[in-house]
Amino acid sequence: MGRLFRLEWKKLLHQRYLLFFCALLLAVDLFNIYENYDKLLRPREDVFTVEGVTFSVDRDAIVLHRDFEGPITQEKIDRLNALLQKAKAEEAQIGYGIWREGYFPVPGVDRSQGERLMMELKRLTGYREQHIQPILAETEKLSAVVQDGSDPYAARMAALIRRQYGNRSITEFHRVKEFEPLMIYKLSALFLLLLACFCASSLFAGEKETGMAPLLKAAPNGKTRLFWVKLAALFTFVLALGILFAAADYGMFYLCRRPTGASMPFWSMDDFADSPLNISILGALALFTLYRVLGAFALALIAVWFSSLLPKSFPAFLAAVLCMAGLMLATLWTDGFFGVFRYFNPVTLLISVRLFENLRVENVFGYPVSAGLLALLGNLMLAAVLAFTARGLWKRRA
Amino acid sequence: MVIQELRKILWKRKLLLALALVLLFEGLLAWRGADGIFSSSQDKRVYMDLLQSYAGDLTPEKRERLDQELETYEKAQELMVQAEEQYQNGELTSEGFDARTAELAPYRANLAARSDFAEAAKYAEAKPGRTLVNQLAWNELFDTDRVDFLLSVLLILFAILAFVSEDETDFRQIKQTTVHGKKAVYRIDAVLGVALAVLSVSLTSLFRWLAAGSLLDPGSMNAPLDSLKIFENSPFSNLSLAEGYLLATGLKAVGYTAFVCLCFLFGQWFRSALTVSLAGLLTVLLPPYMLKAPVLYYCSPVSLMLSVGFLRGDVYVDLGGSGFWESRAAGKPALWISLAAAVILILLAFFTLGKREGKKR
Amino acid sequence: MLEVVDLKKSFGGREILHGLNLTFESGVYGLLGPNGAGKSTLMNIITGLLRQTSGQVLFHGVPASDRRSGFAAKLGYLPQQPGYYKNYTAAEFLRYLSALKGIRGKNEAQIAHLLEFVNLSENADQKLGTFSGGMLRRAGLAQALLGKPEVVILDEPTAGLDPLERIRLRNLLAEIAKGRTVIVATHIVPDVEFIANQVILMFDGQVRQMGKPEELAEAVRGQVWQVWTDYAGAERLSKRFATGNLFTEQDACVLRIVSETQPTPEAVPVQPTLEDAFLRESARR
Repeated sequence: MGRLFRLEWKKLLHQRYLLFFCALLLAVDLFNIYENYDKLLRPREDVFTVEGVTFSVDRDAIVLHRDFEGPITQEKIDRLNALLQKAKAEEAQIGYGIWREGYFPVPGVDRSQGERLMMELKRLTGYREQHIQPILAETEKLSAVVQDGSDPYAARMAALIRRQYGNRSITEFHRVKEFEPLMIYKLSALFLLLLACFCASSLFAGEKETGMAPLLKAAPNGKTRLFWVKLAALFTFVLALGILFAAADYGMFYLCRRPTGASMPFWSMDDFADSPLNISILGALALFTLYRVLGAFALALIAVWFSSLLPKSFPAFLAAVLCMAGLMLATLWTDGFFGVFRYFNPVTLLISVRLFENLRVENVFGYPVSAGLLALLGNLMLAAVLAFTARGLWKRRA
Repeated sequence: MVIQELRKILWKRKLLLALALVLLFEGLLAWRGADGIFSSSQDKRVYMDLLQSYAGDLTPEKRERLDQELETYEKAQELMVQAEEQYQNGELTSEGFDARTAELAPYRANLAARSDFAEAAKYAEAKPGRTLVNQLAWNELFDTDRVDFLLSVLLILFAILAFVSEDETDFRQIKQTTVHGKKAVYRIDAVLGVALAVLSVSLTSLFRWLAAGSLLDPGSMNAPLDSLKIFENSPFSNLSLAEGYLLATGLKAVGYTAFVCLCFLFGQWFRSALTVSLAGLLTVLLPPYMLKAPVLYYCSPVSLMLSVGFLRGDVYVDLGGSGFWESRAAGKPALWISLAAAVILILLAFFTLGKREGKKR
Repeated sequence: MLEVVDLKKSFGGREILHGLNLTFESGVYGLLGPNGAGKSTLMNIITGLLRQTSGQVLFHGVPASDRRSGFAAKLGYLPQQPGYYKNYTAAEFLRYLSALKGIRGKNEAQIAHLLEFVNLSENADQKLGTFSGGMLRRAGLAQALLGKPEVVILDEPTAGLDPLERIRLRNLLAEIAKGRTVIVATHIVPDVEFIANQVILMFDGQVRQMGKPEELAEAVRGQVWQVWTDYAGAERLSKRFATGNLFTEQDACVLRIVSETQPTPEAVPVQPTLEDAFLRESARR
């Protein structure tokens, strides 16, 4: 089986133009990140210096933020405050902030980097008090109401909230905000999806096209074993591609925006302050990558299904792409599908960060189960159904 | 030979079925789009009533009448805002607020339709020469400009069936030893592909016109192009709205023609149906991400497939947020570049088809 | 008349055809050679599917690639692995090929005649995807004969056919050769032995011998031997000499050996065949 698995991998790698397209899409992906999120690689404009500290209106002042990284202390806050006041006095200013001469910001909308940094520091230091305490207070109220045990689900929900949110506080500042766009970055997921379907079509329908199908099936390994080996090869290939894209994205984002604090908790980012995930940012990236790979694989199984049904690879590929496009549109129009069906929708795995933005749970036999886990299980079930039916088709029709 | 090729591709290879399905879906989408212009039938009735009364040149007398008609509703909205503030400040009780809401409800009905119309009127009178038209319906025709994914897939399918399938089945060897098999049949297939592209684009544009047509006031056909807010800075303001739609359709037809020719070339280069499928899809998907550099974008067929951008002009204010495939605003020089690139691509396809030697076996 | 003048073809630095000079007039020409001799390459160059490195292919004195020669309209070709449109019926397929070949009008009479000629009239409305290998080859032959070509080129026409189909096809080839040039490229000697007017023995991109089958066979008279021996002797002799045939007869092995000298004192000379001539050339490589 191991040898067969390696041979199937080799077959994939030798698929004409596959490596070319992988390289092309990776290049486009990185180029897109550079174009949209670059802050460092291009020459900075609108930069000016006050008291040896560099500020800018539209672009990151890396030096400014670096000075304040690490534990948040009153001394740092006072220092920043003093700097801002000094700059305000020295330049022609509007509102609280630092602006370059001749630039007229919209009050209450535009904020300088200095002001944004101050807001971020305040958000972080006040995170527990302003964000978590109210949640826990509500939970306590809920617990008080259901103390008689009449609503076990509510009691379990309260316990879950206390468990997930109870111990949170933030004492350090890092440039975690720069990770936020990476979390919701979707282009590489789309590319992964296309490549997964391409590989699936070539690996399964391709055998029929080359005329190898009868030979393979007459071989001692048998049709069933061959099918599972191919599926395993497809999955590991998609996994490898997923990791490659994720690593490349992370690298490019790092070069462009120089985020720091990858070991900070996921919920330390403003956009994900309500997330129940108590893992680091890096851990979250790994989790989302895995979800994305599983989502791409589940969707590639549609291509496997069509490849087993149709005699040629390209109609299988096109049919799978059309199904995926339809699925994505349906997801968009119905905001992720109705009711329980949303947990069987592979597209939700591709944009898995949405599942973990806040505490989303479902009542499963009286127990609160996280939407993220449900989506994972639902899609694994869907993948299993697709795989088994495809296997049956492949055995009979190929 | 033309009949034989048509028969082979459309009937024997079932492309006719695919075409029918695509056109059916396009018709449904067009109908759905037109149906969704207004959020309710009442909104539609109100808007269309206003349009009937005030469409066309907005004379001072018309403007005065419109202001009077809308005044009551605008006043009602102001009173409602006032009531909300009073309720929040405690100056109004809950029952009082409910009563005030019920009292003002008839005047606040269909507010969206009225305020849309008021915006349209405001835009029309801002510059001489502009006409008050049904902005919503015309926007539905012009502004929902996306690369037609289904149509692109159909054209990719044609390219594969016409050019790649033969190579994969070795029929190419027999074909290329015949009189017409070396060049003529390739050119015939290319012409059929172009005809398919033009026909599909024309029909889908026609469907959208028919679907939105009942909402368009006849007089607006000849209204200048910049009567529509999205074309405020259009370099084609000398055209009428109808002419603008025709131009957009024509440019789109050129764009899809260039796309199908590019797929023909992919078929020649890659000689694999699966690879041609992926390459064709990427041609449609990648440009918005890959080709930020304007010159490269305008050299790809996608710029013409999103032809409305050229009508917008390069001083375009994004009204509703930029979507994935939304057209990129551009001026006339960019249009010339795009057209030149498309023509070069089409000529390249026609003159190089069939020239490459067969697959080595 | 079809001529090949000093034809050379190289692929990636390796010379496949070494300056071939051949003239084809009417009749059946058997192009005989082992796999990799260059037969298909020669066929592909003559039909215009490949471009030669140097040399010319002339049709009635005019380069065949020139439109003025009219060669394309006078050529019928059946490749080694022809592709078909599986969902076309036999008749539809011939109609399509008629259009490709520029035959004006509906050409129904000729199509019906050809289908009858290749014994496929009853299957005219059957889809090609349901045809057996032999039926497909016959359909392929029918399309090669569309338009009354002057030159018919068949590349391994009997490959994969059962003996009955092969005989049938051979007979058809003999019939169509009247008044036209038929070139059959094959490595199966019996395919051409009985029907070819001229046989060209081709090895390693070169023509070694050309002549009538009986002449080529006669050229090896006195060099073909039959030897009776035991198994060990058979093994020994097979390694040393070109062996055409080996069978066992009452615990002894009977070998047919091609050799200029008597291989063993007990060896008996036998009537040579074309296959023996082929074997002799093969041994000389």
